[in-house]
Amino acid sequence: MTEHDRWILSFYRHSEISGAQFFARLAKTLPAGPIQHDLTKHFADESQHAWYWTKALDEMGLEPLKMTFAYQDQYLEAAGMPTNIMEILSLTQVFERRIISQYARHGRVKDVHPAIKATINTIMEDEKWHIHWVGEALKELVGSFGAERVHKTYEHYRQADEAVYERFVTEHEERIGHILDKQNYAF
Amino acid sequence: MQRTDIIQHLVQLLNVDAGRVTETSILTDLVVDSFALIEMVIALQEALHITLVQEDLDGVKTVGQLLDVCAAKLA
Repeated sequence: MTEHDRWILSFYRHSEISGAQFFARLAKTLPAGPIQHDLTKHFADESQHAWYWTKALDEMGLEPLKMTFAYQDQYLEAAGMPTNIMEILSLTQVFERRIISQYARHGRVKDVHPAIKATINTIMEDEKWHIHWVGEALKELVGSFGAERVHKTYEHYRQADEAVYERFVTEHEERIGHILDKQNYAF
Repeated sequence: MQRTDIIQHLVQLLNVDAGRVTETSILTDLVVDSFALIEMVIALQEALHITLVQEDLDGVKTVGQLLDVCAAKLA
């Protein structure tokens, strides 16, 4: 276990808390309906994930670091503020795919701590459902916004995500480089 | 709907003193963080039964500019 482990798990924990807070506020704002319904479970999941990371840190004998930024904040800087539910869900879909990719890579690292591995395995099940429900909601929203706009919006956020992730990796290479290096993977 | 009616909606959504929300108020000064701004914009659309997209708010900084956008959608 290293300070890098502590940093990355604290970062995951902080990002899950930020996601939960955002979706909780959105769930209060949206009218009743299928999106509000699934969004409510989504924010409950994100809260649970923050707890799982807190517990994993506990099991590793580490305390969470106080983080000053969440990954999601950088999307707003790079791609601008989403203004409607379709834009928010497009951004969410891009973010969820990034999270799945990041957790999958981390779970493959050789000699990864059992607490990290178990936490990732648990969270991944929820993340798959997040991708599914958001995808279905976006399909429904094609009726209101049109397929072209939904596609264009998703692409806008996907490109922003590429830029944000590249910057994230460059800024924090020392801390997360071992997770991205395929030579460190167990399988 | 009059501009003053939309300002009333904003005052309620932002839960701030009415005197703080004028046409020249800067939107980001009225909220604690960017999430609160998103929340306000979503709630305003629900209240006014309009749909905004990101381009609609390009360059919008003040309450007055937001009112212009909403008024155009309501017209």
